[in-house]
Amino acid sequence: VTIEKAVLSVSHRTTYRYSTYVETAQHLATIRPQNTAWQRVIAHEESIEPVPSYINSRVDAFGNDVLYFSLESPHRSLQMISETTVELTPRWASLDPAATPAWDTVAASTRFCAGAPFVPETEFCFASPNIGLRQDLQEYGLVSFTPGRPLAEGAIDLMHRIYADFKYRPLSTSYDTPAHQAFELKSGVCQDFAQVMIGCMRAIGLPARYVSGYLRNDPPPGQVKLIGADASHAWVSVFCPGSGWIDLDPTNDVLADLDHITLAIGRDYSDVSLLRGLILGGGSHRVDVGVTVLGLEGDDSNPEPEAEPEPEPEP
Amino acid sequence: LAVQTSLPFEEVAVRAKVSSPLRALPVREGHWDELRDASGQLRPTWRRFFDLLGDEGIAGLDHAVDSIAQQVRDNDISYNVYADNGEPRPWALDLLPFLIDEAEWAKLERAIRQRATLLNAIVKDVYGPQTLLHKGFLPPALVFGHPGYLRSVKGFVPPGGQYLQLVAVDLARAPSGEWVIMAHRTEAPSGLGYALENRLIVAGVFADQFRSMRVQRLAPFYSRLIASLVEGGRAAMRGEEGSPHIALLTPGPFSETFFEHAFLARYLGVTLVEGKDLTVRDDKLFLKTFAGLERVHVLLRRLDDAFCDPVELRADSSIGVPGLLQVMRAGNVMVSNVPGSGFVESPALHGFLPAISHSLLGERLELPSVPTWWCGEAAAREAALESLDEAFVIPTWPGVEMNGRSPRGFGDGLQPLAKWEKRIEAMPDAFTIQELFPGSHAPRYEESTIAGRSSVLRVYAIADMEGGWSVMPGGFTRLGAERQPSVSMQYGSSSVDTWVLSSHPSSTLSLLPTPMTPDDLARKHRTVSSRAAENLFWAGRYGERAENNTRLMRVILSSLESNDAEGLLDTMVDLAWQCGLLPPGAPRGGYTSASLERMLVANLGEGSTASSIGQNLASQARASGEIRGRLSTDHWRTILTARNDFRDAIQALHPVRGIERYDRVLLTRTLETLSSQLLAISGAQGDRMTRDEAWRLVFAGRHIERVATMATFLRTAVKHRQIATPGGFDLLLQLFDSTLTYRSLYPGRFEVPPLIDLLVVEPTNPRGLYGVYKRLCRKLVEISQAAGRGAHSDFSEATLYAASLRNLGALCTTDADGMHAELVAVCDELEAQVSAAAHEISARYFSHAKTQSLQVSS
Repeated sequence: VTIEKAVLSVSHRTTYRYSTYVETAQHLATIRPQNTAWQRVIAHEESIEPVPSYINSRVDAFGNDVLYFSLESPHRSLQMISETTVELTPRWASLDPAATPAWDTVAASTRFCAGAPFVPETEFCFASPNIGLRQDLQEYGLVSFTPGRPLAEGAIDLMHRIYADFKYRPLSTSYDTPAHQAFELKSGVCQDFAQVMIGCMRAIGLPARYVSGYLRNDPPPGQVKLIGADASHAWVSVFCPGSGWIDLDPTNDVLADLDHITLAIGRDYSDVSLLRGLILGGGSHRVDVGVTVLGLEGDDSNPEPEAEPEPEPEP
Repeated sequence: LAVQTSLPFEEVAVRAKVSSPLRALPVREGHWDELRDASGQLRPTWRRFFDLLGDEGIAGLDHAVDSIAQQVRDNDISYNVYADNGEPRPWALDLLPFLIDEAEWAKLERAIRQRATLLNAIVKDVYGPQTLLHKGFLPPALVFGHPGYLRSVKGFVPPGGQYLQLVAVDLARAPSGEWVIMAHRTEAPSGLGYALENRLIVAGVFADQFRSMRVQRLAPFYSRLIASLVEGGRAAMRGEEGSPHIALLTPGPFSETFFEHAFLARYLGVTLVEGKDLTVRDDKLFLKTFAGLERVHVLLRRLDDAFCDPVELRADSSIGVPGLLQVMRAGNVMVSNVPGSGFVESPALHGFLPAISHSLLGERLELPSVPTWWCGEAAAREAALESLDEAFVIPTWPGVEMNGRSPRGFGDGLQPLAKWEKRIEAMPDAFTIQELFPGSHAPRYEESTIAGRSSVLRVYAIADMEGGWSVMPGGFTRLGAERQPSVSMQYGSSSVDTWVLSSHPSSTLSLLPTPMTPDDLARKHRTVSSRAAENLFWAGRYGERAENNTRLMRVILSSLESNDAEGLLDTMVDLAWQCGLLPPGAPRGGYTSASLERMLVANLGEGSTASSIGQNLASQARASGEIRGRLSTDHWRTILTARNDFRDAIQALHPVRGIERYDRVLLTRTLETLSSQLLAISGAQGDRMTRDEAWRLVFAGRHIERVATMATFLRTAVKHRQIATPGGFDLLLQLFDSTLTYRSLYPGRFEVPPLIDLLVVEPTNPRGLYGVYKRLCRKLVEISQAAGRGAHSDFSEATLYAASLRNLGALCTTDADGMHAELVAVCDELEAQVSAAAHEISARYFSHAKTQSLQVSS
């Protein structure tokens, strides 16, 4: 069955509980979905408890809508709930990996040469806080990117290999684990899979960026539930002249398509962490994150909220 | 190395009929000689300098060197070097200034003004339209790949498009005599304070030359800097009444150049703050003060970019201000310089500047940069590798990680390029190659000899809000150590004053502020930051503690010496132990007079324990250093001298570690001297400080400490049943500094009730417990009124307690064992009261809550 479009609804809840009172706190949240050529935001709403004493938002250097808020009275917990409905359009129908340009030509075009035209995507060619340019990643990447191979083919092959070679293991890494450490461990979560793959492609000169978002977690009948679906998700985007940015999900070995909702893009996790902040006081803390992503009945034609099944309880 | 065949300096010296043999060593071949021309004759500037100095002056140079060292010590000018276990190193300042004549300076000034304009234009373009990238004048790697390019700043335009207010340019002179630009500093350029301190000292040593040679003054430059910040602050006030509040943001006392931050803040008359002193509320910046929050409109920052805001930049920064960028973007604070200019400091940029200057300014560069090749451009890389055998290999950006190797791997000094070729090919962007630049040799006086040392001159420029740049006539010149290819204060270089000569009489303007308004006056005496409050309080406590411990030490040592110690030995051990004169691990008993004395003497110095006399003096100096702006110069100098003299004397006392013999006379004299110095310090606090809330905090600190110590003295004597023995009686009177008073009031009488009356009840005794406690309570009430926070009670519970201290009858009663139990109970209670008051003050007025960073993984 060919599905024309998908309408997905997300309920994302983050709760912090502190052992002592937090006196003041400042937070950045990157939780607002983007409108793109293939993603239309139908509804988005967020709520924060306690109510921030100051709130403001801005578009960052990557085009993400970032929320800044501060809490200036003592609190023992912080809860952020975001409810989103988007409509997704299939986007890879016309992609023929074998017909994409040779990766080495693309890599050469990102190198600076006086008088050559500027390629804005080169912003994503360099080292970033979590992803260094390293020889070990380069060597691993070159196994897929053999000389002259079409870029998309090489990238898909690299994705297959990472999926096969790396184990999905929650808690084996943390939010600030750099790519090369996850590479040595050969394990991690979606963030690590994505950052390793980005590191491999940047090390050979290809522009690659980090995408943060959600994954559908009520698989259509007969399909398995995708990995990483109960939390927020992350994948990779590689620039391919002629095709634009191609989104690949090495955690699930698929092209990101009708199951993937895009929130934000950046160089790595540190640019787009969903919620970060600095608190004064608070002692130790516990955090609970719950994400539910459901496909709506009737898909594109009738995204009525009434038709929406009740979200499942938090995991 | 070859030797230049120019005439030595003796020729001139002979003409001046100098008795001391002043010799000038020839400079190494291939370097410009600042002192002599090609024929070996002194250059006109130096000829004039030495003529003015005359025979006598030349003979007095050694004395002048000592005088400089003395002033560096007296003014406590220091430079923290990370490698030195945190112990600040005295500032290295050399005698002879670096001389620049008027015509030469005019050229430099023009070139620096142009360079500063250019750097601001580059920053403005990169955070704005990025035409330099689009047109290919600037490689993407040098922006997008540089950690100094801050994406949080993208799109932000400061008032007037002025991202930089302060730019430092390092210059050196080529063998031809032409100047070349070696580097730019825009993030948080250092040296502005040291330059001024160098000037104050060296201009004093060579006062005649300074006047006669019409050296241009620095003060007008600093007033222009303040004027520029005030102007920026007005924009941030958005029409608000009053004058802007300017603060200098320092990483804190552990920073390399903390001395300079404190000095600059004092000289410019701005508040010195650390990140934790500031807080962001909504989209405004505030200083936490003793009396609540106070707006800050301008932040002159000395923090590196990445550490400025842990919310948006490095989350692990504990020295930044969470939310600062938010406030900056909202236009409610002027941050100077705007964070994010770090990328123009990259050495790789030099090669691209001629074209960029042409594109942005339509001008040719007035002065070239040192020849530099960025390896990321294949043509440049190949050219450099082909034409150079040896060169400096420097990282294009800081913190480059090369397969886990830190930038340290780049190696110091000249590198054989063949050895580097492979590594460069693997990661060309990360490498920049710079040719060895033989800088000019400037004269340095070293024990009757003048030697040439390679020199780097740092010059500063400041911008007004319209983008006009003024250049400081002078600067910060560093001389390299012998045979050192590069010049850095971290590696043993020294600094000299920089004299720009003029043919016109120079302006005698000192730092004159713009006319003050009544609002300025209203603000003037209000601000006591929470951290200043804490340091004031502790300066008082450490001062009092040093005084009490010194008295205790003198009393114990003189008892031990006069051989009447036997019966009192246990009491003294207990007192010494409780007051921290013995190290915490030391036994509390089993001493002989001799072993106690040895143990006490071994524990005097700074390094020994946290509560030794030396350590208290050091802590007093540190706390006072942070509030130096509130102390008179004499007051501050006495605090420092007390610490330095004591430290030196203790070192002299133990010529070899572990030797048990020491100079007893020297020790006695040292403690005597220290007592008088401490007396002078408490005198200055009583008499020389403005009696505002700052002073009350010092007073409270002193009195809290005094109550606790006096109560300890009294209780210990009572518990050891020494209050009624002649020795114990005498000991108490000495410890309470009350011997004379007692003798004049009760000649020849040794009775307990009059003793207790004098030490506890009598309100006029400056150390009597009741009097001290009562004065403390009054001060606490005043403090809480000054802070004006209705939420807190007036420490009233404590005040009530004072009444029981006046009941002499109860205090004199003894229990069945003959113990003054009531007296002991009162002492215990007093100690508990003041300790509670200290905690209360700390909780109310000081900011010490720790920030912690919080993140969640997706």
